[in-house]
Amino acid sequence: MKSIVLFWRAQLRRKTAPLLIIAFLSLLTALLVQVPSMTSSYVYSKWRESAQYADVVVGYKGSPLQIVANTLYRLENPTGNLPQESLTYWNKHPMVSESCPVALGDNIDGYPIVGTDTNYFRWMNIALLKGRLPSASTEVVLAAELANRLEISIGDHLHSSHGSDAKGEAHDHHHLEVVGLTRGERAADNEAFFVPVEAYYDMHHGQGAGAVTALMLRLKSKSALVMLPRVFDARANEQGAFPVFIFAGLQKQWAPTLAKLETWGMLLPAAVALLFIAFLYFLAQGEREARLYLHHLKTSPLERFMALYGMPLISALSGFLLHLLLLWGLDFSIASIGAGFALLPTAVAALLFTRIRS
Amino acid sequence: MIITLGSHTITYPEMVLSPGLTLVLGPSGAGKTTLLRALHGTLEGRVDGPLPLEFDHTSLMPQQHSWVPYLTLSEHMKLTPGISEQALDQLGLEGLENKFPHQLSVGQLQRFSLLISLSVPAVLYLLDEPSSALDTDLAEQSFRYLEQHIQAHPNSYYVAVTHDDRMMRAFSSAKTIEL
Repeated sequence: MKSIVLFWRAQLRRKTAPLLIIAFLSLLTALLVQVPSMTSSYVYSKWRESAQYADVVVGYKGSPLQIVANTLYRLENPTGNLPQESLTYWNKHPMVSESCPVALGDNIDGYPIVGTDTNYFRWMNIALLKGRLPSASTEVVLAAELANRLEISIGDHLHSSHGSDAKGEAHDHHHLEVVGLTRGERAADNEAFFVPVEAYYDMHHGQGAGAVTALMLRLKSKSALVMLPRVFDARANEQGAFPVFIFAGLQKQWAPTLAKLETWGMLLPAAVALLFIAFLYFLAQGEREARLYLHHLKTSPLERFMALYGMPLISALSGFLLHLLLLWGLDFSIASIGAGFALLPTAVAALLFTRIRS
Repeated sequence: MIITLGSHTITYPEMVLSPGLTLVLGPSGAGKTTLLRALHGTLEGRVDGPLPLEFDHTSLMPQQHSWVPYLTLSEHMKLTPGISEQALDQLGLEGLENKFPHQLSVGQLQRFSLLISLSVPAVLYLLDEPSSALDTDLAEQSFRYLEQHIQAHPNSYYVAVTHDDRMMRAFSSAKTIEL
């Protein structure tokens, strides 16, 4: 034991750099093992989140995927407009707990204008950083990040254009005053302007008053998801899009691709693990004299192993522990798997150590 | 006795060893160092036939790699208790306790190696070319130290491999084995 402590002390003093490299390589291996699974977990969690913003998106008859893509992400064109009657119907529906209208179709500088109410900011976790939310049809808010990029400040007056093209017909008669700056969770909410739904009617001289592009619904009970498709079948010109089913379908479609990503993604940590093994092996070669010396002193194999390789093993373990600490908050079980995988190179290297001949 | 190292085979003459010093002589490649390792019990090869001596407590002074690069002399001494300050003085190594091996000359390292080997409590001491890197004065210093050690341990065996005429003259009464 005395000789082991003596060797460890000397190694700490004279071999600090290699020991730190070992700790770093073990940390890197553990972290890299995590990357592919974390990537797919992240994709899946984002999809799950997206599915939870609204239980149902009601749009004009058409593709449910198109309705979700347009309403939630401002991708694709709207399938059409919902009349006032639809809004009234769904707002009073016994299975619906609350609703949020979404009007789309115009832009400012090519960025979409979303006509909505305050529910949207709450549902989508959009924080108000400065000013206030729009309440009048002449008021607009946008993400602080976008405002900074477009050099727009609170108090500025803007004009909207028709359609999604910045060069569309300008609504010169209708002024919009910036009254607040926000920060959204999703890229789609940080790349758009928000106005009350009424602003849309005023932009178009009152044309289409009462209509919206889509209506997002939150249900009183998730069990209503099973019953609602039949309700939609009976409703002319309305399409119910269910994000939870759409994202589940997407997840199923993407599962093989993400699985492939995980498999190929393991190549990088495998390469670092090999580098780690090589480093430990060459470090062990450098211990040849010490090994022979201890051999001549007739120390036991265990004593030799602990004296020479105990400190590198402790360094490697420090790397694993650091990795666990870093990812503790994220997911302890995932972090443990990474650390477990990173233990493998050390085990292989330890095996190689014992194979080095005197 | 026959020792096989891979594809190489060395056949040894019959050897009878007794307490005191035995000098092993012979040309390079005759298997002198291999013999010492076999007697030390650290040879990685096959030994057919009985060894001339077999003890659990043996100590070997190898030709090289007999120190750890990152331990100071005093740390080496802690690993092999029994090294006295007097012994350091006797071999001209005083004041070098805090030096690392790379800070010493080849001659100093060889004397330190001899000191460590002879400090290990053993029945059989095996010395591989203990004076090859020493000038005449230092070699005589080492021989004197070895002589005293032998006198202090009359029941111990000492087997030294050497090409050094000075050692053969200094220990002219020692038994010799020619390989």
